[in-house]
Amino acid sequence: MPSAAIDRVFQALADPSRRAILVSLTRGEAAVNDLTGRFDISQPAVSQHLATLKGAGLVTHRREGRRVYYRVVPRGIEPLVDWIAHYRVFWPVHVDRLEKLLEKMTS
Amino acid sequence: MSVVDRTVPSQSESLSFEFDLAHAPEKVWRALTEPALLREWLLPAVGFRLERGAAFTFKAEPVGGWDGIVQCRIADVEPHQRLRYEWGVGEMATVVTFTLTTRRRTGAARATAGR
Repeated sequence: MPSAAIDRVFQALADPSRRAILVSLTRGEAAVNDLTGRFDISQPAVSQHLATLKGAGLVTHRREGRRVYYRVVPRGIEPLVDWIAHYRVFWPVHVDRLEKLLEKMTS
Repeated sequence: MSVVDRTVPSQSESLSFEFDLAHAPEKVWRALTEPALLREWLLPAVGFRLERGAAFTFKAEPVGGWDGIVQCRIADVEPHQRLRYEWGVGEMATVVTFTLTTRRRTGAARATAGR
C-alpha cells in the first residue's frame, strides 16, 4: 500500500474535529453549512477539515448550485484496515512457511 | 495445518497464535534460531546471535516510507522451549515470543507477538 495514502488517512483522523465531522457524515450527505451548525467550529475551519478529509480520500463532494455537499467514501478507510490486517496476517503466513521448511529439513 | 488465533477479543495490545507442528521441538528450535533457516521462512537476519541482550536486525522488503528494517534484541533464551526478542519497527516497539511445548506424538509450537 502506498505510504503517502496511509499517512494522509492517519493525519486526517489524528484531529478530533475531523473525526467528529467524518462520523457526522456517516449519517448522510451534508453541506458545509449543515456541518457548521452541528459543531462549534467556524465555516472556514469546517471547509479546511473537509479539504483534509477529501485529500485523504475519506470524503467526496458534489456541487449543487452554490452549495457543496459532502459525503463519506465508504472504502476510504481501507488503507487503515489493511494496515491493521497486515499485522494480523503476518504470523499465520510465516508460520505456514515455517511448516513447509520443516517438511524439507531432514532433522 | 491450522493456525488458531488466540488473541483475546477485548484487547488489542497483543496477538497470540497457537499452532501444531508435527516436528520435534529440537528441529523447530533450529528453524527459529539458525539464520540460514530463518531466512527461509521468516526474514533474513543480520547479526543474529543466540545470546540474551544481543541485537540483530531482520531485513524485510522496503515498503513505501519504511526501510524494511526490524530492530531486534534477544530478551530470553531457553533452548528448545522459549525464545523471546524485541521487535521494533520505527517507533513501534513490540515483543515476539515463541513457546514450544511437546504433545504426545508431535511437537506443538506456540508463538505470540505483541507489545
